[in-house]
Parts: sequence; C-alpha cells; structure tokens
Amino acid sequence: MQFQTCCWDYTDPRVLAVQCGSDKDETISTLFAFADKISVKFTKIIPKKAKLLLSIDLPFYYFSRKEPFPCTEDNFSSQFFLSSLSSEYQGVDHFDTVLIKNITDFTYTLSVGQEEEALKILKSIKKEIVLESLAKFCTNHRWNSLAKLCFGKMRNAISLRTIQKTENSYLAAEYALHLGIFCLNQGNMTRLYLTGLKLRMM
Amino acid sequence: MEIYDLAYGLNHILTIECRSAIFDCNDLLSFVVNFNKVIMVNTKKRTSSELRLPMSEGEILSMCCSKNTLHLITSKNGIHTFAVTSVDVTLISAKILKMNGTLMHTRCNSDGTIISILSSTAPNKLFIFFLETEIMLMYNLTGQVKKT
Repeated sequence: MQFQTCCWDYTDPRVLAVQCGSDKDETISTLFAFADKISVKFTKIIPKKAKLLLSIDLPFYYFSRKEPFPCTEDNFSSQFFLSSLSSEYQGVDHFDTVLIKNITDFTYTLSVGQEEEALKILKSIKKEIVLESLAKFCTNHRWNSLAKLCFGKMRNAISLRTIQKTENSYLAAEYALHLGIFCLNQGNMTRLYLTGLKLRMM
Repeated sequence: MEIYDLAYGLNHILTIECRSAIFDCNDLLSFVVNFNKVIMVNTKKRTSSELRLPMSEGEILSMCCSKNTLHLITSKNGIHTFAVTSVDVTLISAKILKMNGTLMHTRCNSDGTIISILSSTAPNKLFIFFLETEIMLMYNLTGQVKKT
C-alpha cells in the first residue's frame, strides 16, 4: 500500500484528499490540515469504476474512469470522469455553499474533538435528509450523543425508540443496523458489535 | 490579480488562467520549466519573461500554485514562493524543507498556506509543510502524524 496522489479542496483550504492503493484495494482518506495539525476525517474505498483522484470540490470527489463510459452528446465529460458524492453531504443542494460549509465545519470540529462547537453548528442545520447523513457520520465515528441529537431533530420516532432502549455498549451496532451502515474504518468494530448482538439475542 | 485555474501539461508546463477584477482582463499564463529556469508566457499580451534560479539552488523539480502565488520546489529541498501578476513574478520567500529524498508530487492548498508533498523515496509517507510557521508534519499509512 502506498500513497498515489493527493488533492486539496478547491475552496476550503483545510481539506486534503489522499488516495492510497495496493494491488488489492484503493482507498481515499480525507484529512483536515489546519493550524499546524492534521486530523483524519474518514477513510473509505474508492468507487469500483474510479481509477485516480483528479480533484476535490466538496461535496464531490472527481476521479478518472478505469474504462471510458459510452459517450453521447450530453455526457461527453462523464465519458472519462466520474464524480462521487461524499456521504455526509447526501441531500445537500450543491449550490448551498452555507450548508456545505456548515457540514464541513461540523465534521472538522468532530475530527479535532470539539464537541461543543459541533453542537452549535448542528443547531443551525434543519434539513431532515442532511441530519440523517450526519447521524450516519456520527454513528460511524462513535459520536453517539450527537447521533441521538440528529435523530431527535429529525423527530424520527423509530430511531429515538432504538436509542432509548439500548443505552449500552451495543448502541453503535444498533444505530448501524438501523441506518444500514458498514464503513471501511469501522468495519471490524461494527462486525464485533453485530456478533455481540447476535449472542445477546440467543 | 488572482489565479483562476491551472492545468499541468507535458514536459513541466504549467498553464495558469489569471483574472483581474481591477483591469477586467483574462490572461493565460504558461510557465515552462527547464532545469533552473522558468519562462513565463502571457499568451494574450504575447509577452514573455524569464526567471532564473541560481545554479546553487539545484534543479526545479515541481511547482504548484494558489490564488496569487507560485511555489517552485528544487532538488535541494528549497521552496521559492513568487507573487504572480499578468506581467511578471516577484520572489516573496525562499525556505528549506527539512526532508530527504526526491520530491515527486507537490500540491498547494487554496489559500497558498500549506503544501502537500509526496516523495518517491518514501511512498508510504505524506509530508505537509505549513509555509507560515515552517512546520513540517509527516502522515503515514497507519494514520500516525509526526513532526519532522
């Protein structure tokens, strides 16, 4: 495994995406570099059809394609390039720069461990689909209290009931089950929790 | 004057599109690197100027740019930062990187304060250089961060 390429975000000077690869798999890590510090936002596997990271302009990552896509007059650029939406920006209007910045700030404050700052930002986010994406992000990164808050703001009764019932170490797994999450860096952890849940249910 | 877009071409050619709100003009600048020399061509005004680093600085290996600055990285681990206008480039600072090995791939962040470096001799390490404080951090594949 070695570093292949890195790209800075087009607008946010803190965000750096790094592609690493080996014969088996290719991953992309998103980092925050700010005030002489680096913190990792997340690591995930790159899309199957993607080859090399070319650029990042949040909420999108742009890759070159492994094989050219059939071309029509309307999709000339997508013949060679592939755009991938970062999961925590699901449901965001791509022209809503304020909301995009809020989400980036939220993930930044969490990655540097400033929970109170993250709470302040979360209060300004009202769109339900965005809250669900952030709930997934919080669950993935084991910020359970913030995931709860997201569900609360969404007024999602099923999720809240799940949370209220399970105030124990299996919480993360139950959130993950509910949200259908299985991400790269938390994969083993989630698998362990799932095993635990199965044992508990037996 | 602000650099609007850039593209890397073959043979160390960096093309930069500059836009200036003051003069309301769009200039396309090409920087052609040849050993210790950079030739800047303004394709709109059909002018060119030459920038030569001292031989003692070694060969220019890589370059990157942000808003209105151009960074040249040399084989002797020097980072030379220039302010770019549509007609010329002016040296702002020259700093030395505390790292060994051949620089392979450098990129600058959008406000020109941080440079990321991949080295061909250490392919499992990413170096991040903060220009203002001259602090260099090393990030490796296991997620560890070290100050070098």
